[in-house]
Amino acid sequence: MRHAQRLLIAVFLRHFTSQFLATSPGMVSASCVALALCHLAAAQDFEQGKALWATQCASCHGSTGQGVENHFADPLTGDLSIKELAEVIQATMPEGAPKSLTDPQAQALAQFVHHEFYSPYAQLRNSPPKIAFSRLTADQYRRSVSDLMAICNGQAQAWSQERGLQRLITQGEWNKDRKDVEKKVDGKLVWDWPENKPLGEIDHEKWQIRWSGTLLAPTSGRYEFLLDSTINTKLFVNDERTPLIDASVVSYEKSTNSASIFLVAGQVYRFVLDASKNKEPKARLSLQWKPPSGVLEPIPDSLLSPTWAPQTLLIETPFPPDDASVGYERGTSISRDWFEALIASAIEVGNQITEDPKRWMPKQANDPTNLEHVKKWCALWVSAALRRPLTPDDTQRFVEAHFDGESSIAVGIKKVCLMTLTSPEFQYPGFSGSEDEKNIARLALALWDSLPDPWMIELAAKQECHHPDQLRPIIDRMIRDRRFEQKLTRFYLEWLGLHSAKDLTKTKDRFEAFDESLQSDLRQSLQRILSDYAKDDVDIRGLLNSDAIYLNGKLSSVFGGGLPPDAPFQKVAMPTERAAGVLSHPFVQAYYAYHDSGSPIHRGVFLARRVLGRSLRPPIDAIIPASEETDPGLTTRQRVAKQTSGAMCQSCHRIINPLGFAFENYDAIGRFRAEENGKPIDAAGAYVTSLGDQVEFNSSKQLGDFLAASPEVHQAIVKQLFQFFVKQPLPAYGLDQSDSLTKSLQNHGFKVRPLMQDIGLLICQPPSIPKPPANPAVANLENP
Amino acid sequence: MTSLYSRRDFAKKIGISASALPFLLNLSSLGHASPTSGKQRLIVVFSPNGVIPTNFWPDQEGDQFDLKPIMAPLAPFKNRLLTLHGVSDKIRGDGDNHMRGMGCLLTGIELYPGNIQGGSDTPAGWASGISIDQEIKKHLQARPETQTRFGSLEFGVGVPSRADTWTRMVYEGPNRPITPVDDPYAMFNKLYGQRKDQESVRSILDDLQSDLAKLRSNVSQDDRRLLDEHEALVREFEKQLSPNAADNHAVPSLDPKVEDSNDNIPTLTRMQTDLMLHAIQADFARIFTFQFTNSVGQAKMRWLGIEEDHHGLSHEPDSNEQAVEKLTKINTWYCEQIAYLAQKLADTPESDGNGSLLDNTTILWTNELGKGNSHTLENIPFVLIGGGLGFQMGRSLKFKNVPHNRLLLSLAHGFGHSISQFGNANHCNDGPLALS
Repeated sequence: MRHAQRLLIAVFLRHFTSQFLATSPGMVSASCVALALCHLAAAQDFEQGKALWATQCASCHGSTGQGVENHFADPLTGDLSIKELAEVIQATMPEGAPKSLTDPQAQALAQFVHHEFYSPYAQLRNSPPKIAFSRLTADQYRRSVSDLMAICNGQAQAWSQERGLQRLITQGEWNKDRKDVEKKVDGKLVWDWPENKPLGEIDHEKWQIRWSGTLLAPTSGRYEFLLDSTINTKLFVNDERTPLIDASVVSYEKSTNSASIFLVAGQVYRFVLDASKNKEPKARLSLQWKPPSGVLEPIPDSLLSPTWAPQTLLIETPFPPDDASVGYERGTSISRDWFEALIASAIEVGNQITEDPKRWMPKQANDPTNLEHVKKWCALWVSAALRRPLTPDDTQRFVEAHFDGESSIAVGIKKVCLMTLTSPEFQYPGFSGSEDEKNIARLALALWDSLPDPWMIELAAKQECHHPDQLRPIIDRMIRDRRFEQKLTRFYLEWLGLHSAKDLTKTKDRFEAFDESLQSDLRQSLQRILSDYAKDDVDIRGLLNSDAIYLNGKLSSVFGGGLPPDAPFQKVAMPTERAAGVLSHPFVQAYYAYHDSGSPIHRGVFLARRVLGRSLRPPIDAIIPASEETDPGLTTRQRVAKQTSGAMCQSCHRIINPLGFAFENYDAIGRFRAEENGKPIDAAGAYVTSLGDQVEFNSSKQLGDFLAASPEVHQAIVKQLFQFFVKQPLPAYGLDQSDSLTKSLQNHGFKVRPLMQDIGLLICQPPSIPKPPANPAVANLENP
Repeated sequence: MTSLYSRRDFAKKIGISASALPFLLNLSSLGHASPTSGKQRLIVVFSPNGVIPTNFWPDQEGDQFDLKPIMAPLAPFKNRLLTLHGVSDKIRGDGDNHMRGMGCLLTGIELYPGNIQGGSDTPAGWASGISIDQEIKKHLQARPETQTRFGSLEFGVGVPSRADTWTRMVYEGPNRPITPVDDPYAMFNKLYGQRKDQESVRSILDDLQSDLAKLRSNVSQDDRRLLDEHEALVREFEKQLSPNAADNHAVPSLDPKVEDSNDNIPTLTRMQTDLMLHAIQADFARIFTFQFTNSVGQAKMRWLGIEEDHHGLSHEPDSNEQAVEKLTKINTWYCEQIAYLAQKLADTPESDGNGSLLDNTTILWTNELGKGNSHTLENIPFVLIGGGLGFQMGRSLKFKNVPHNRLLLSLAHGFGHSISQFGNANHCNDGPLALS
């Protein structure tokens, strides 16, 4: 028997033996022998497939499917089951003479291709991925520096569960006879006071109104604030002393002011809006914002909290975007732009500290007469940045050396910043130092995108961060931190494919209700449910089949739910037949839609790629989707089916269309519909799993239930979760880790935090030699 | 307690923190764009609260005239002096005269109605147009041959740390006042911070190289690729940072511990003036403003033996001889500061050897009011010293109450920016004042 055949049988035996051992030990040997014999036939097919490949396929695809220039250049890889692959081969190959192979021939060829190089397993086996040597991504760098400053002035961020801002109304001269009139929590920042005053009982002049609290940035990027005010107003974001917008001088004919600031997703910022009226004839005030790639809208109440937050050090220096070509941002390449941005940002940090040392340094270090205090603070800062205690040599090089010359203290501090923030140890975390030091660096990066805290550094110094029993409580503490919760929320957005900007504008005359304010409420509704899933230890299968949705009165008037028009946001249950968790959320459905109709193709691709983790090739030719006008009599479903009926199209659309069709009940704005152009909706769909099982469903609800129970989906979410958090390929930590982490998720009631425990342990002890994979698809071939 | 390292909060607001890199790498890219002749410069100097006209304006008209006490310090420059009596700020609308005197002085256009209530008249907001200095700056910056690193620099001394219509004279557009930098340390950082940063960067590169090498020895062969690239970038960067002969003009040194206080106004003025002279020599900008305090400025010139504040004194009637004497002294002190500046410019040759800096620099000394106790906007002090704009100097001119928009037009035309209107077009009908 050839090597390949032996391997095939061996893999197959191991896979099934373990399963049988777990269930009925007595049956093992007999069943195995029978199955192994059965497999001999498959081995003969394999030889036939190999021969066919050499004679009919290799000239265009290459001997190992690697592709041939000027023929079919792309590597032949994918994740169709052998059965489906055989059907595609039969229908499309060889070029110029499709359907010339017999069914057994196509089957044999598919089996050979699948095993040798096509399947994900074959790809992993042929070139096992490695843990990539990586620097901090720009996002991780910003977070690390913010946290570094917080660690060194002892002020951690906090975020209370209460929503809205503290609103205080006062009456009288500010510095003379001012009295508090009313104090309450309120998140509304758009006011056109009918009587030019916020309360009936106060005078028309000499009143003040102040909203204060904390703002949570939902995404990273530049936020523009637009203030329109006819009274003396100042807006403070992050910095409580220097206003972001100073509109204390109001020009009535030009009463709007705007300013922008770069905020980091998941971080919270001090937020104060201060207004006072004296003799101004009108009292109107509105503050809106335009989040990165969002629309101008009132700041959502859900992102405001009435508590105080310390100032965060914000880096304004723009960085070039990090490579995200593999589906997650990673720091595996460097460029001149990056290096220059790094230098400029380190200077910026030094400037910020030295321009206002009282704000960033504790009292003693701010005493100019005491250089020793300054140096001590710098040493603390460097140690937190390098994630370890300093040696005397480090203290000399990173701190003392910069204060030796004739330069001022300020220049010394700036040099400390420059040397530390550009140092390889800071920039390449987890690749140097003791195992304990590497572990805390890896964990902080994976779970927080940031630095370990001083407590962890201390444990690592005592060498108490390498045994799983030592690591578990550390990880447990880290996943209770709000930084983890925020990262998990960001993951869900990434998983849903909603992290990138998209214009959601729909045809106005048909979807009049879908204006910018409704879109903004919908986005908020989705953010609320996602943060629920990030907050607590909940079963994340609900993301796929729960009926819960957040609605307010406005949303309810469009999407149902029976709320009165002025109802605030609340959790309601949608009719069961519609519920497919966040997949059926109107924002998601409207996102995966055209401006005038739903898009089964976009929805299908989303489900296949992101939810089921299938790989799809881009279309061979760019196709303009057929519009309604071309075939006015057809439903969306019929139109899509017609346009993608070609054999080449079907190699992918056989997966895409039947998945997308299950959401035919949702129109272009994600609103439920029972019929389209007078014809009843047909939401029947189907899916062939990568193991070859055929599944059918008749509604989004049934699809959601199938997905929630599907091991493929569990595996896909585990892989994406791992890669989003760790920013390394999962198979690099062992080719069997995808399976074992998926089992961890399943065994822990589909809760993320216990899974993260296992992920945390795994990244602290990466295996040195990858194990060979189990290939369930090959095994399944014999077990229809 | 004040800190050794830091100055006031707004220092970072002047834009020295972010995106400094293009200049960090190449300080000289614009600084020496135009070594040839034809450099023209404008310095607008503002002092507040009107003047004592009888001690200010020459009685005679033409090229034969005597200097009155306030302008006596300018005697060495009499043949390069141009006094413009009879030019008035005719902008009306909202705001009191101190507000309009300031906000319309360089903009020549009305203030927006707004919420700032002055002593009389209706309240107002910011000016509704760009100021002439910024208009000329835009003109110069749009041409490669006149482009400089900053285009314009806005200096101040003793400007209160509040933003309102009385404290802002320069506007980059309607409703967009520019804050003068009245802290010499902040101005120094703006001008030279990057030079210092360059030195700091250079000082850490060796350590960075050796740390990279250390890490390199700890990682696998495959992983070294990234570190190799990293090292190459550091070396390349180091080469770019090596000192460039063109950048080597002297960086001034500042006395490190001058408090921002009323009594330090003379010292701060000297520091700011010297920084401006350095900026001119380095060709960092061609347009400068220098704002003493603010409209309604309340400096107490104790160094002249005057305990009262300037604005309070300026309200005293003409019959108060003591007040008149003190106000004359105050204005003479301002004039002395301008004379110092003019002397320095006259003593410094142009980099191309053609004449002195003053030959190509026009100083415009002005005020928000004609006279303090009447609050008049007629006969606004406009005194020009120097050259470069093609005006015929060494004269005392008397106009018949012409709008100051026409003078603003003359300044633009002097720079070859031939606009037909500036500010409120109704006041531009007769075109620029004929000064050449």
